[in-house]
Amino acid sequence: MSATTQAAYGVVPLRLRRIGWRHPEWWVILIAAAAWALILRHAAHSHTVPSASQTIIATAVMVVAMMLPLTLANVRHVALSSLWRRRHRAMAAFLVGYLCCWAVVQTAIQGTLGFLAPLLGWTLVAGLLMVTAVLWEISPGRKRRLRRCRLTVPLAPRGWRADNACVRYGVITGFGCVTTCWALMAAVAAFSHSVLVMVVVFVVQISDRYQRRPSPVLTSLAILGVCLLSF
Amino acid sequence: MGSLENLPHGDIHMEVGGIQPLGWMSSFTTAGRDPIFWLHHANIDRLWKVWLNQGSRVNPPETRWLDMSFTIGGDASAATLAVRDVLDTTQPPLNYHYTDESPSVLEPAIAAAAFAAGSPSEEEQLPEELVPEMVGASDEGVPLAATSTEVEIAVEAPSGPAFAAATESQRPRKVYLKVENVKGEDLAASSYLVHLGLPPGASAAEYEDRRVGKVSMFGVLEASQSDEEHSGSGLTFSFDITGIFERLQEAEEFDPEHLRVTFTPVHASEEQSGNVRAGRVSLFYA
Repeated sequence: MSATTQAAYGVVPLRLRRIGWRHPEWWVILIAAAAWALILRHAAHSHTVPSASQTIIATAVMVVAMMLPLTLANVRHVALSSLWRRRHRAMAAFLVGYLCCWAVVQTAIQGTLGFLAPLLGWTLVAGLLMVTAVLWEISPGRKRRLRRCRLTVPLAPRGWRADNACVRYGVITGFGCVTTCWALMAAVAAFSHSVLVMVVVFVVQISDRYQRRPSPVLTSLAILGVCLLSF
Repeated sequence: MGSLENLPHGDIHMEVGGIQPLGWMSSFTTAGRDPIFWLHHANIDRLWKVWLNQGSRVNPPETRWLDMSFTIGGDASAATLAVRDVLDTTQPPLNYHYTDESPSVLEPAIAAAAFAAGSPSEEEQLPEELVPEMVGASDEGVPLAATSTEVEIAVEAPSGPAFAAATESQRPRKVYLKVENVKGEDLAASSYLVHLGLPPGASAAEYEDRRVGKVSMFGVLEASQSDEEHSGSGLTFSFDITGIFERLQEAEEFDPEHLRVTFTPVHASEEQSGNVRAGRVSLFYA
C-alpha cells in the first residue's frame, strides 16, 4: 500500500471507508444524481427552443441520468471482480464501452427525428413513437431481453486485456440495454426531453430492471398516460 | 450460488440422472418427472429445517425472496404459492411434520463440507466487518473436459480491505476461490473435483487434503442459455479455502506466482468431449 493511500486511510473514518469498500459504484451514483440536478435546473429556467449543440448536450445528460442507474449492478460486478488497485479504472472502462453504445443509438434517434419531424409533423412522430414504446413494453420477447441485462462475463485481471474486457463488457451490456430500452428512449427524445416524460420513463425502467416480476400493463399505462399529458 | 445448492442438491441430481444419456434428473425441465426428485427435494427441505433449528439461524428476510411465487400443477388444480406461504411446513397449506429433525441427519453433509473445504468453518457466514478483495484471477478460462484440466492464478498482495483486516502475521482471515461463468451446451462429466496447489503432473487422488470441493454440472446447460429466467451467464461457484490455504503456506508450498487449480472429472463421458468452460477462476481474501 502506498504512503498516500495509508495517509488517506488515517483521514477517512472507518465507517465511510467500509461503505466505499462495499459500494465502489458510489461515484457513478453521484454522476447520475448530478445529471438529474442539471436536468431539473435547466427545466426550471429554460423556455427557449434549444440549438443543435444544446440538444446534443441535453441528450448526453439524459443518457447519463437515465441509463447509468440501470447499470449499477453491472458496474459493481466489474469493481468487485477486479484487482483492488484497478477497480475504479475498470468501472470507468466499462462505462466508456456502455456510453459509446448509447452515443451511437442516440445519434441515430436524433437523426431520424430530425428527418421525420419536418416531413410528418412533430405530433404524428411523437404519437407513433408513443405507440411503439407502449407496444414494445408489452411485447413477449422483452422479458428475455431484460434478463440479458444481468449478463456477466469473465474479466481478465490485469494489463490491456483487463481494460479491453471491461470496455467489451460495457459494450455488451450497452447493447443489451439498447435492445431493451430503445423505444422508451426514442419516445423521450420525441417529446423534446420533457422532464415529466423522462421521470416517468425512468421510474418504468428502474421497475423493469430491479423488480423481479414487473407488470407490463402498469408500466405501459404509465407511459401512455404521461405521453398523452405531454402533447 | 449457496453451497447447499451445489452439494448435495446439484450433485445428487447429476449422480442419479447421469450424462450418457442425459437423464431426467440431470435437467431442470425434466427432473420433476422422476419420482426420486420429490424424495430428494423433500430431504433438501428437511436438511434446511434441521439447519434452521440450530441456534440463531433464520430464513433470509429479503422481501424479493419471500415474494417469489411459483405455480404448481395445471388447469383447475393449479396452485400459486409464494415462498412466504411455505416457510413453516406445519401451517396451512402444507400441514406436515418431518419425522426426524435431529441434528444427526446433518452429519453426512457437514462431514462432506468440512472435508471439501479442509475447514469446519465452511458454513459460517462472512463477518460483517470483512469485505472480500480479489487478489488474483486466471488470465483465461479453463475447459471442463473428460480429462483433468488446470489453470494458474497469479496472486497479488492485498491493498484494500483484506490488507486492513489481515492478522498480525499478515495472513488473510478468510480465503475464497471462485469458479466463474461455468457454461456450455455439451457436458463431458457430471461433476468436477477441484484441487488447489497440486505439484505439476501430480495426481489429484494423492492430494485429498488439497481438495477444495466439487462443482456439479446440474443447471449449467440451462444457465448458459439466454431466456426469461436466465441471463446466459452460466453458473458461478464459491468455496471457502481458508484451511487449505493455511496448510499450503505452512508447508511453504504456496506459490503466489503460479497457484494451480485442477479440475478432475467425475463420471466422465467416454464418447462426449463436451464444450463446458469455466470463464475464470479467481481468488479472494477477506
